[in-house]
Amino acid sequence: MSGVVLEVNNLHKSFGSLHVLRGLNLTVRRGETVAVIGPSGKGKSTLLRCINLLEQPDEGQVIFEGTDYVPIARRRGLPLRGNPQLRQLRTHIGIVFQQFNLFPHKTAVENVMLAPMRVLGMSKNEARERSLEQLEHVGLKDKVDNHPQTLSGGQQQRVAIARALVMEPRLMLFDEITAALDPELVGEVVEEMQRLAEGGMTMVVVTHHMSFARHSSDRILFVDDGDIVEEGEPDTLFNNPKEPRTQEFLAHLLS
Amino acid sequence: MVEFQLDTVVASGPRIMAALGLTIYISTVSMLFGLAVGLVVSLLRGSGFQPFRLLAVTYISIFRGLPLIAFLIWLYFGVTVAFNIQLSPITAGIVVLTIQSSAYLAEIYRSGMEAIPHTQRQAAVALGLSPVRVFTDVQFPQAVRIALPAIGNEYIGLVKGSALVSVLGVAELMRTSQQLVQFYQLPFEFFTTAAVLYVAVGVGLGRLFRIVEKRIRY
Ligand SMILES: Nc1ncnc2c1ncn2[C@@H]1O[C@H](COP(=O)(O)OP(=O)(O)OP(=O)(O)O)[C@@H](O)[C@H]1O
Ligand SMILES: [Mg+2]
Repeated sequence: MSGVVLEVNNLHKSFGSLHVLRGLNLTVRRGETVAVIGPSGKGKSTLLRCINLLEQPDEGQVIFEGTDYVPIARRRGLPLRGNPQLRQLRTHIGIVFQQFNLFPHKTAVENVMLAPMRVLGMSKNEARERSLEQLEHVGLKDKVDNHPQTLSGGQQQRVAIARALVMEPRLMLFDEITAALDPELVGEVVEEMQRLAEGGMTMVVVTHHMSFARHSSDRILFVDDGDIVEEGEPDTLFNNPKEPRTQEFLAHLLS
Repeated sequence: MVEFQLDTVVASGPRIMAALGLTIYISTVSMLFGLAVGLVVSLLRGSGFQPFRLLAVTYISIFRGLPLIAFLIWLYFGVTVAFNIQLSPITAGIVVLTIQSSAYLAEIYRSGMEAIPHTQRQAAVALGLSPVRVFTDVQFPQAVRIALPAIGNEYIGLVKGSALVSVLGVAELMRTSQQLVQFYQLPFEFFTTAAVLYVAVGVGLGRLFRIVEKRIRY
C-alpha cells in the first residue's frame, strides 16, 4: 500500500496480568491526522509507546514505512534501548509527552539541539541554527536561553514540540500534550498541532481536547479496553456514533 | 591553665603548613581517583549484566564495612609482605582512601541517578539517543547536581580520614603534630592547632561546594 506510513496489526501488550492492548489494528497514511480518544487508563499511551517501541509489544506487528519493528525489538541480546535500528526508527518518529519531559539542566535551545548533535551528528553551529528556527516557529524566539523551570507549561510544551520537530520526523505522536496545562495555556499548544496538521504532517494525537479532534483531525479512533471500538470521520463519529460505548463516552463528555 | 605558647606554634608554621599541604594532597588525590573509580563501580552496579552487578555490590559492601585503620594496616603491613610488594606509605594511604571513598561515592552516584524521574530517560531514548549518550548528556549531569552535597561531605570525610594515614608514618598534619608535641612537649598547643586546621579545611570545602552548587543550579 503506497502512502501508508504506519500499520499496526493485532497489537497485544500486557503488564503482568493486565491485558492493556488487545489485538489493536491501525493504519495511518501520509499526511493524515488521526485523533485517538477514549477513557482514561485504557491503553492510549501504551499504544503510542508501542509505536516507537519504547514499550515492547507482546504480539503483533508495528510496520513503519514497510518495516516491521516488533521482531527487531525482540531480537535476542539487544536491550530495547540499545538497538541501533530502533534508534534509527525513533529519529523518524517524534513524540511529545503530557509532562513535557524537558531536560531541566539544559536551556530551551540546548534541549532542542541535543538530538541533532548527538544522534544526527550535526555540528554545534548547525544544530543551534536549526533549533533556533524551530523555536521561532513555535513562538519562543525570546525564550531560547531560558531553562525549563523558568517557562510556563505552555511554553515548555512548545519547546518539547520543537525538540521533536527539529529531527524532521515523518510521523509525530502526541500524548495528551495539553492535559497538564492550565486551561488558558491550552490554546497556544493546540495551535501548534493545528499548524502541523495543516502543514501536512502525519500525526497520531491522543487527546481529550474534543474541539481539536473534531475540527483538526481527518479521522478519530475511539479506544477503550485495549482496542479500537469505533473509528470514523470527525463529523460522523461525533454526530452519529454507532457503538453504545462511544455514545456513552461522548454523552459523558458533553454533560 | 598555663599560657598558650603561640610563639612556638608560629615558629613551626612552615612545617605545619607543609603537613597540611600533604593532608590536602592525599585527600584530594584520593577524592579524584575515588570519583572516577566510584563512577565505574556505580555503572557496573546499574548494568544489565548480573555478574557485574554482583561484583559491584560485593565491592561496595566490603569496602564500606571495613574500618579505615584496619584496611590501612592490613594493606601496608600485611599485603606488602605476603605478596612482596613495595609500597610507599603515601601510596598505600591514597590507595586505601581511594578504594573506600569509591565505595561510598558509587552509592552517592546511584542515589543521584535514582532521584531522576524515569521519564527523563524515556524522553532521551525517544529522541534516538544511544544508551551512552542518555547517560552522559541527560542522566549524569543531573545526578551530579543532585549528589553534589553528598560528594562534598565525602570530600570532607576524606580530609578527616587522611589523619589515619599517620599510623603508617606519613608526615601529614596529624603525624607532624604528634612529632611537634613530642619535641616541644606542648600537646595542647599543637593538637589544638591541628584541630583548628582540620575544621578550617572542612569549613572551606563546605563553602567551596556551596558556591559550586549555586553556580550549577538550574
Ligand atoms: N509500565 C507499566 N507497568 C505497569 N502497568 C502499566 C504500565 N504502563 C501502563 N500501565 C497500565 O496500563 C493501563 C493503560 O495505561 P495507559 O497509560 O496506556 O492508559 P491511557 O489510556 O493512556 O490513560 P490516560 O488517559 O490516563 O493517560 C493502565 O491501567 C496503566 O496503569
Ligand atoms: Mg495516557
